[in-house]
Amino acid sequence: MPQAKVVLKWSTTLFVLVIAIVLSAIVCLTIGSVTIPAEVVFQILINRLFDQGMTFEHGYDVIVWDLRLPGILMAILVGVALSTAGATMQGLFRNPLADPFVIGVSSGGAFGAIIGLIVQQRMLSSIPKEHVLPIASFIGAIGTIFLVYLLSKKGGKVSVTTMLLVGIALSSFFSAVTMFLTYIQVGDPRSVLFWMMGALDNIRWYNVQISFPLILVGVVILIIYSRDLNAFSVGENTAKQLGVNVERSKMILLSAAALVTAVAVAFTGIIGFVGLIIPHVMRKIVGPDHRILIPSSALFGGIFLIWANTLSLNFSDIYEALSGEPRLVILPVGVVTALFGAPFFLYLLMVRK
Amino acid sequence: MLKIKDLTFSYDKSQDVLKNVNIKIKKGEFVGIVGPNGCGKTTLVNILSRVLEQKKGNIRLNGEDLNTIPQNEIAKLIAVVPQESMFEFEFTAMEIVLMGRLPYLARFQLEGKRDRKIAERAMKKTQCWQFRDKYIKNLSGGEKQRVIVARALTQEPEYLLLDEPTSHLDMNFQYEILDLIAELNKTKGVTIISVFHDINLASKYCTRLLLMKDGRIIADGPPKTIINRKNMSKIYEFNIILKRHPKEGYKYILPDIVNTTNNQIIPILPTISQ
Repeated sequence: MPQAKVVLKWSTTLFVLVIAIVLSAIVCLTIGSVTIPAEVVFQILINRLFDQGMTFEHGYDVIVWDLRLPGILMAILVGVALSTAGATMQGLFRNPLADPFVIGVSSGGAFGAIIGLIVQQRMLSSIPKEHVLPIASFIGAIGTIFLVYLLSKKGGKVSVTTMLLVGIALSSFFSAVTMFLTYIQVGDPRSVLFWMMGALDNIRWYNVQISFPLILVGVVILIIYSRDLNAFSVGENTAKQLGVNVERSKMILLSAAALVTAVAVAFTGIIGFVGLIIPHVMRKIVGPDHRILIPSSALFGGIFLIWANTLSLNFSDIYEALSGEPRLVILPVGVVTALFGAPFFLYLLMVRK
Repeated sequence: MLKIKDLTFSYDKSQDVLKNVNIKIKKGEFVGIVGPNGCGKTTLVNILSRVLEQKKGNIRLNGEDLNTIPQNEIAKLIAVVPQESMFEFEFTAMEIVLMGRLPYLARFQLEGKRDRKIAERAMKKTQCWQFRDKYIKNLSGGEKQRVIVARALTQEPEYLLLDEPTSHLDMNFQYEILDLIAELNKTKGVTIISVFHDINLASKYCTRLLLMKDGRIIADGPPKTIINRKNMSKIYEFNIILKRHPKEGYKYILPDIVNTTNNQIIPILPTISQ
């Protein structure tokens, strides 16, 4: 394909995905315990954005602006973070089974969370749990990656195979401690359990405000270094022979992927499957070139998680419509991603033969 | 000009894999490195492409210290064809070849017309243009290796390093690839440094042979003077039959391990006493 055609194809893909993400967000803003018409949603958004001073009945603007919108924006951010981190890990480890949690971010985060909650209970009870949990899990997640990196370093070089193994070892260790602490019921096991299932409810504006700049920085770095990922995905030695400063690139890519993953899990816990499946889906559509794979995975991950979240929040209604009896059924978003992601992925595998 | 002076290398402190290696390679040479397994051939190639870091000794590439040249500048001077490449993702042959332009492109620069032209020429030369849109992982070993050679050419290197480039290929492809490399050497003046498993192939193509054993260069010169009984007995533990190719005139060897008087195979390695 000539250059102009590549540029056209890539920009069309991104354009379509941007439109899709905006439409998905608007549609999902209308859905909930009360259905709010799309034109009202529009008015509310414009009113809040440009300070028009309009008022809305039934507190619609509070529902849309303060309750639904932060959740949807957070879903986008987490989807972006996990998909780009997943694509990066798969390229870096040259392993299609890699995901953002492959070197222990999740178990490190859970470990951090439970330790943080114990400390909060014993010493810092003035600080609310909701503030301790994200900070503690963020520290746990970042700390684990840092530890994996340090332990894998030998003579100024880091072997990715060693990193995988060190990651597995540390993961099992932290999981064991977490399980033990959960079992003997210290700290707040229930919160940790919810954290491990992943949840996008109870997201407020401040969550979005903190996550947005951090995830943005990380993703921009990943996009800047996506070219090096192409070289990595045909082998580390080859990357070097093609002129890539391998050790530096690897450290930068790992740090950026770790940052976005740790920020994502800090507020929403472990939402599985997104980081594994989205890069695969996009690879089928746009090919393995990371210069388009990373940004398009980011957008598609956002779209996927908007819908997964909406489904998770409104599952009670679906349950009622299907069974005829009203009942409060909570389906964690991590369950939704796997429940609907897996068959979709299998379908993709089948049709492309 | 590539100048290797007093190069010593070890993976761990206990044993040196390369011992005090001194080589001067002029532009336009076709150098073959031969020797038994574990003699340090691949290590030497990996040091030259900077996959391994050289600490003791000094290597100068066109007069500059190899350690001070930025990695992407080296990639413009030296291209490498490894023994075998593994592909995990569905890159097309064309995409793989275009990666050879990486050292020339700025971070956000897409491959332009000129880059594509260079890639096309390389692929036509190596006869893989016809499967440019096929997935690299679905190609056969020989086809894959042709794509890799095309990628190396796309780097427009002055030096081409090859590590047993044909050891996984059948005879057809072996000669095809090496004919191609010999032609590049002659027409474009690309300096070739290649590790050979098969001394007969090295003898046919190279203008100079380096014989290695235990991390040292034990002989250095044109194939016709290097391939002799004395040298061969240093690197092979069996007797050989030394012949000349009836038409092309290069020397080749055959193993001579059958005792002709009673048709018994002479054990090459001393048998383990029970």
